[in-house]
Amino acid sequence: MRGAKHGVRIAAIWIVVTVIVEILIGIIPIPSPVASTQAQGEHQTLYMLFYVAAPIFTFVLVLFAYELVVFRRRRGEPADVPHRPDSNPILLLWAALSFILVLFLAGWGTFTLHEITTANGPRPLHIQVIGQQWFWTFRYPSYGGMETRDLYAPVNTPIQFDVTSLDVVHSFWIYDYDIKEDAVPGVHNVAYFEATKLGNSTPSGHDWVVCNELCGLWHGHMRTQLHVITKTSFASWANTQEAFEKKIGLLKDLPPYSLVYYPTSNANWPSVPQDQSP
Amino acid sequence: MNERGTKAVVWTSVGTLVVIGLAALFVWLLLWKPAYGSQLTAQSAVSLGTSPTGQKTATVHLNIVQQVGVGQHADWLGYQTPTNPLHPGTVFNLPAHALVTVIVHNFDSRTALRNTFFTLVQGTVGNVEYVNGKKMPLMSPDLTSHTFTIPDLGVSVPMEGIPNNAAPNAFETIKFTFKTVGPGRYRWQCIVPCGSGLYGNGGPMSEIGYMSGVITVT
Repeated sequence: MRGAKHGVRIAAIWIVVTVIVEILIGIIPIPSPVASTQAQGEHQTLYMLFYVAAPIFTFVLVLFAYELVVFRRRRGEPADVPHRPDSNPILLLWAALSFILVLFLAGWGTFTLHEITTANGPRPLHIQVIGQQWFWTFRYPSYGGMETRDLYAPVNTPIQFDVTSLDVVHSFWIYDYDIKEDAVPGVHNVAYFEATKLGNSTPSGHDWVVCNELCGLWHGHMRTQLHVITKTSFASWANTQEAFEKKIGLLKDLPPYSLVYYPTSNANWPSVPQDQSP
Repeated sequence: MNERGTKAVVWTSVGTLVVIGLAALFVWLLLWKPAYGSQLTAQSAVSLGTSPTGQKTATVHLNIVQQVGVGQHADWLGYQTPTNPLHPGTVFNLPAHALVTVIVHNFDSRTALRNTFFTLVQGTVGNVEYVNGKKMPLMSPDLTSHTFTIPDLGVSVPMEGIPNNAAPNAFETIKFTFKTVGPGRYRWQCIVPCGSGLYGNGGPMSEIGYMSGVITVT
């Protein structure tokens, strides 16, 4: 039977191509480096999507290419062939497979989403991220609400970023650790983070916090350094910094720690009463 | 070649040329460096020197004025060269690994910071500034007017503003020293939302030559 011969050929080509593509997916690294537990979850999901999508992708392409080559219209042949009725069992199989696949991926994605939007421990270290044109600053409520220009974070420690903005919408992005959260004025957004690698050990060699939302003249330069350090180094740095800010008088000049700020100090700032805060 | 063939050849050639032209334009735009220097460079504000120990030095004299008085936006405030003719004072070249002393005469009044963190003097030699000769590591939030902030060098210095009842042409003198690192282009800005628009960061804050600039270190 000629049909069966073509089916076997297509299946053979499809299997070979699929195996090659699956191996390539396994070999080619997907950016960015996996340096946090959140990044692990995201990467696993990405790889799962690629592995599942690859056979479908190759099947469509192989079938298309095979038909182009083998079933192309030759000189003297009619332009169209008689219509063949749909095969119900094949349609049913296609619908059932698609249903199972989509359900599986939806379940997997939902689980990952839940995992990366939940704190890794019962008492995460809170670090507030404040976006402003065109600068990031960070406040540490566990250390007297001190504020810093660079972001310091201890490794292997569950962290909760409380993200907000003092002016327009910014987006807090740590590329090397796969963390991203919008910084919106008057809104308290949350991102969870647990670094599994020390800073500068990631392949790109340097870790930056950048802005990922077009925010004005210096958006492209709105970046600051991230230092993921050991727990003991962090404790020592934080205590020294808090003592310094207390001694010099900065701590008392800073506004009381709050999840959102409505700076009324500038005449242009729309004044919003504190009790309307979310 | 028939008419159809000729048409095909002509259109293919035109199409190819357009594509090549667009690609060339794209590459040119990628390589093009904005000519910050040509019109805005305020090199008259910079004097270079060498200390007895061989250390390269530079001194930058700047004024902060409520109205720059020249150019397209004469009524905007900004950093300006003190020399005549008046010139926007936010773009200049500095030598690498040099001790740069900046002397600012601030003729502008006080504006509160949005984030009082920037009352802290950062990244200067000794982490201090001198306001009218008085050493200061931190400025009271009531006194601030503007800042001189170079994020990638870690430098941020608050500028004290003149009091509301100050005499005409009164100014505060702010002096600080920082060290440049290797060659590169460093953006700098005032962090006080002293411009126009809803959040105060429009106008002079968003245009180079007023409250934002570029320092090219060579």
